[in-house]
Amino acid sequence: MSAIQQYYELYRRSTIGITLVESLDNLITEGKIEPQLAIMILNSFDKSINNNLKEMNVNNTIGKQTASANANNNKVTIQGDLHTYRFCDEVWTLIIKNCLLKLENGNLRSEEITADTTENPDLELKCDKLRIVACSAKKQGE
Amino acid sequence: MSTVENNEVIQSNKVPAASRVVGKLYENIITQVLEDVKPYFEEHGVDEETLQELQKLWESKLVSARTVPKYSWQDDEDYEYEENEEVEATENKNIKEEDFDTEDELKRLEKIKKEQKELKQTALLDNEEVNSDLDDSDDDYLNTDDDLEENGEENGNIILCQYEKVGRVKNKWKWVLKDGVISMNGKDYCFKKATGESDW
Repeated sequence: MSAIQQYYELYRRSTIGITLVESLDNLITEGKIEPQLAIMILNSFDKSINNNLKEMNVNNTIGKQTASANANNNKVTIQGDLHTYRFCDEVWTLIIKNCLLKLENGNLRSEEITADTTENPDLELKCDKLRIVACSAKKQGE
Repeated sequence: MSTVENNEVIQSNKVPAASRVVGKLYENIITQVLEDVKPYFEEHGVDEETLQELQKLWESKLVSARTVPKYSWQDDEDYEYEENEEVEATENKNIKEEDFDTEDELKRLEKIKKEQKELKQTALLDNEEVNSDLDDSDDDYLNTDDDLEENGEENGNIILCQYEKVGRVKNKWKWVLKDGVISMNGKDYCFKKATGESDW
């Protein structure tokens, strides 16, 4: 409201967003807050999650540089069969079947100091169907 | 197959990096949002208690969503980590036995939390029983319909993010994504940068 810059609302569909919306719903239903206040809180959430995602990996200075720095610098690769693609209002929606997601160093445990264990440091996730919803990275903040 | 991998992650006492990162992200967001909206509460003449209630609701809903193995605020309670797991597992079990109405669930959670605090000592004495419950719930309850249902309702696996580039040569697609939040197989992750490749 007071902010001039617009932030994407798409992250409201994430777990942290959904749980906030539900919490606000509860408070509104109980008559503890006005819907207008809830909207302001959601706007604040949009701003916060957008900025936090952007600045996410700046804060790592602990431990071995190789292992833990990379863990926050997590590169993710997505593979699979593109089942559906849609481009509408600058938003891409992709549906990928037989999807393999690899999170680089995502599997490192906190107590491990070095990366040279036998365990695969990358976290690999598989699923039958994955939906990707993506807004333009350029529009926002320019 | 992925469900099995998933459960291993839950059961492990050591939280994998990918989950730590997203947990930290969520915590930062909660702190920041609550701080930012404080003046709005004042403007609207809503007392700070309600703000704290919002925080409690938000955090307990996140915990019961179980998409991150553990949050740091769970440490701040009286419990040690392992006890915490037990509490969580007990909560989980109780919930699964009841209907999955969110409001009921929430009331339940709060009630259980209070009960847990009161019963803490008893729970400690009954260690064996609690532990066997824990095993049961991990093995049997977690794998059942609830997970599937949840995925079905919320459309399951999703990545919310921003694209930098989307390109195609013939039927080969490539994309460069950033600032993403992933929900996959009942767990959350996030990324700064991601690349994708697939054939259409």
